[in-house]
Amino acid sequence: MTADRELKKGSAELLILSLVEARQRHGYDIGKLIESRSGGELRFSAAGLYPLLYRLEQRGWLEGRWIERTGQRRRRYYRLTKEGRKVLAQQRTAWRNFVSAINRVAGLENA
Amino acid sequence: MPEHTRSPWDDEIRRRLAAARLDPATELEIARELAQHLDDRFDDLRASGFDADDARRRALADLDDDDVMRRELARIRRRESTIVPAGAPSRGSWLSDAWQDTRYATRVLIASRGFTAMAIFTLALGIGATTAIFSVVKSVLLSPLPYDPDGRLVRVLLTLPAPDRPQPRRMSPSLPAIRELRDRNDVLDSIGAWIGIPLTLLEGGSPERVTSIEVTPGFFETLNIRPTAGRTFDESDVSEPVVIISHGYWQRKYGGDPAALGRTIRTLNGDRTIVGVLPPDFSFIRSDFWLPIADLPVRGRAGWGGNVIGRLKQGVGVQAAQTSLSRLTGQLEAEGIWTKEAGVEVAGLHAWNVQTARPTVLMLFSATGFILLLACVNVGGLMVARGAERVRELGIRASLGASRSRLVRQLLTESVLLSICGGVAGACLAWLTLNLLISTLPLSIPADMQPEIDAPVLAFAMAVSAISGCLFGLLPAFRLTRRGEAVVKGGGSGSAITSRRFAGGMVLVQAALAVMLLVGASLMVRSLQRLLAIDLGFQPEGVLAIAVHPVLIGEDRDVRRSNFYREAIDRVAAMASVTAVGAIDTLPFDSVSYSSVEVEGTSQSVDVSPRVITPGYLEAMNITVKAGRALTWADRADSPCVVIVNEQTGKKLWGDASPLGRRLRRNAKSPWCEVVGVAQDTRHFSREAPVLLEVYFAAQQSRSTELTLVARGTNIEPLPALIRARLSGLPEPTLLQRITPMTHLVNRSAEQRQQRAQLLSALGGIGVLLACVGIFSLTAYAVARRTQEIGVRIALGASSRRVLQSVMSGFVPAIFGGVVLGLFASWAGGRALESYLFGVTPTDPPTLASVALLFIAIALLACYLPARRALKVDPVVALRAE
Repeated sequence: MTADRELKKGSAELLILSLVEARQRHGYDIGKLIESRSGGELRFSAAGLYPLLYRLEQRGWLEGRWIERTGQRRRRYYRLTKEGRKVLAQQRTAWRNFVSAINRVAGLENA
Repeated sequence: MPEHTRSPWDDEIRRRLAAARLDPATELEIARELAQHLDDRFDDLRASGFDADDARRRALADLDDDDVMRRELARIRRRESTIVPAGAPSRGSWLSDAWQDTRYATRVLIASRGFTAMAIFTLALGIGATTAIFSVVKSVLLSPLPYDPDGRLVRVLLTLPAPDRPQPRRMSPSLPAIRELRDRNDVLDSIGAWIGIPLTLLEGGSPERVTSIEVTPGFFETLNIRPTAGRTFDESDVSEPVVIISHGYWQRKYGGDPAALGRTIRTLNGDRTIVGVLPPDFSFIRSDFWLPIADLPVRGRAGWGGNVIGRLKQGVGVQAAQTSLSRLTGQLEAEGIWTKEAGVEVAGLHAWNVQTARPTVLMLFSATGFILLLACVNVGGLMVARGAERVRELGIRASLGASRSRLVRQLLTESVLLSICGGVAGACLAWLTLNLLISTLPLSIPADMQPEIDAPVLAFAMAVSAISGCLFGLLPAFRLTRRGEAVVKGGGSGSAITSRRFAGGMVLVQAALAVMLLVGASLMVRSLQRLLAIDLGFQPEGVLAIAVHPVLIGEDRDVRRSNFYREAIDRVAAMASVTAVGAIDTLPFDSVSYSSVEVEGTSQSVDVSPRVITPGYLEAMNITVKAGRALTWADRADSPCVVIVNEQTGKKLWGDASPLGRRLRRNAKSPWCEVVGVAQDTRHFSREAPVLLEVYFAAQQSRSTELTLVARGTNIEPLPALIRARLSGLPEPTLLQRITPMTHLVNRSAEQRQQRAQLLSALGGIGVLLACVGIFSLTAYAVARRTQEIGVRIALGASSRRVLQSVMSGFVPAIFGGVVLGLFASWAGGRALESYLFGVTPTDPPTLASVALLFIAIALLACYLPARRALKVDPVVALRAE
């Protein structure tokens, strides 16, 4: 079953920021990783992914630049800015707290 | 796929993006990114087994959420977008664009470290040299005199027409005339005069000779100087035994005690009472002792050697003062107070002080300007040479919608950043080498006007850097962006021939500039050589000048003085390694005097340069007596008066007839003196000045005066100490001022010319270095760019000679062309250097020829060395890269 649209929307920023934390990636790579690491539960179309990337870039959390490597197509890579790292840490904490709270209320935690 | 080629997805993507109504640059960039996404998706789907049509359909399905895309992208359209594609038309503030340009430029420059280091070094040389010389321009020419911040001080001179000279003779007005000017003018607040005179102090153990300054009342007021203690002089002090001392002397001798006022200072001519102390920052002239002017009879006539300064009234200019004083001196002339037919000249003191320094400073500034221009051309050429690597990048950015002006701005940012780094390095270089520069400057600069690297000079350095950056950056920027646009339009990266022509043009300009600098330096060096080759008429090598004087108090000073010098000469002559000793009143290359003599049998009075010498002087200086005899001790005071004249005087006064036996005298009251010898002509005061009319009078037959001994020895190095010992215990108290080798005095006269030659040679050397570095780099770039072509040639069997020829052929004609252009420009502009030259014209053919040959040889080597690398190209590697 595909995750609810609203949940997906709320977590999209966290997903993208965390995927570029370790290294810069291009849009297609980000989309594929989200799909593969979520086991197919989460999928972003290009129509949804790229505007999101641009929005994060506008906020100054991501920095995008065109890079051409030998033998490869020219692609636009995104990497985390300093501001983006702070936001990622905040969002991780917020999400962890949120999930933990939900689990306690809905009885999902182990006794 | 070439970057500017349309993608197969373009139509679909544009259709879907149209609804978002983005600005063209943003839409273009997003389209490119989505096209890449679709390409990747398509490839993955095909790899998964889908056929082409199916894969295409599925890939496009990724964009089907039109509404989402339109809505989300619209937010971007409405807001201040930070998605500014590199090179796209700017929509941000110029500040953010400039910051982005700067960051990008920094990355580009760091990526090409070699080029950046070379460019910064080259610019540092040019900007550093210009900055250092500008600090001299500022301190010497532009800054006001420290004691005249308002610029109201002027010099006042009496001028007499001199038909045989381009300029009138300038001299001091008489003291009575100065007083009249002071009392009757309406343009000057005050006026004063000063003259330096020797003063023999008898303070402390041994007598000491210092320079004191005699001044008229009103002198200190003219300079706006108030004493720290006591008072300045007034009319009642004229010729009185009082003295004002400097602040430094007051501190050293009296510890700054106010009770020093009223104490006396012992001098040879009597005690003087201290009446005032000058303030510590007084810097007009450096002297510890200031005396009131002595109203001597000689100072009742013009030309007594004093210097007259005045302070203009508020609001009065130099021209107005000139007009007013000209009128006044006309009246004074009618009253018999001002010299007949003499005019008056009023000149700003600053302008007067710098008039000799100005041409030299401006010449040096121009030379460094050449160096800077060379550096800019050098770096500009390098920027274009590495242009091939940038053309593609610029083409890509143009395809993203970047306007040409935007790209030009980006490239100019790189140039300006380079030049600012060069400027900072250059300012540091200037700061580090300033002291060295000052010591080699062919000028003397007062201590309180020393050049320094201060805020205005640094501002100048930065301004020069920014302008240089634009200068050397503009041409490459326009060139490269034009080629980038050609890439966008599919026209290729520009023809190789035009690139070669452009590089050749850069070489030509650099060669021309370097040759011009070299010609200037070579002419200076040749002038110096010509000057030093002049026969002085005497031999200073092996001769010591001994300034020893008696300190005479009491009666019969003239006789005692003569006996003193005779005794001193005898003592020195008796020393084993001394071969000849004599004495003279005006030592060559130290001082000279002028007066007139009357010639027997004519009514004419002739201006000559008289000397008073003892026997032995001509021998000590190795001045040949061409006819007759030298002076001897037998020519006593009670013997008939005799003189020796030089050849020039003989010719002037008596033509081809022998001067021997002819007679002349100083004036109507003096006895007639017979010419008993004709001496060789000498250059008495400077190598450059024409030979003077020299008349040697015997010291024994002249009024007693101070003399300087000259002693010739076989080995003069240990002599000074021995002479000091020999001259102690003379009958009179003795003042032994100094013992100097004559060569020091003689060489000192050529010092400024030597320094000028050295400095210009250094600048010429830097110019040649820069030009050769430029030629070397351009050739190296050409070899790198044409590696494949060279490989093909070698593979096809081209000989080493042919390969070298093909590489160097772009530059050798440019080198020769630049040399010709440089020589032509030197010939055309040679007049600017004429006043600095001696014995050589600005278009001296041997100089121009030797400069041309030297530069061609060095430049060809600079071209050959990197060209040789072309021979090492491996054709297999080169062809594989093709």
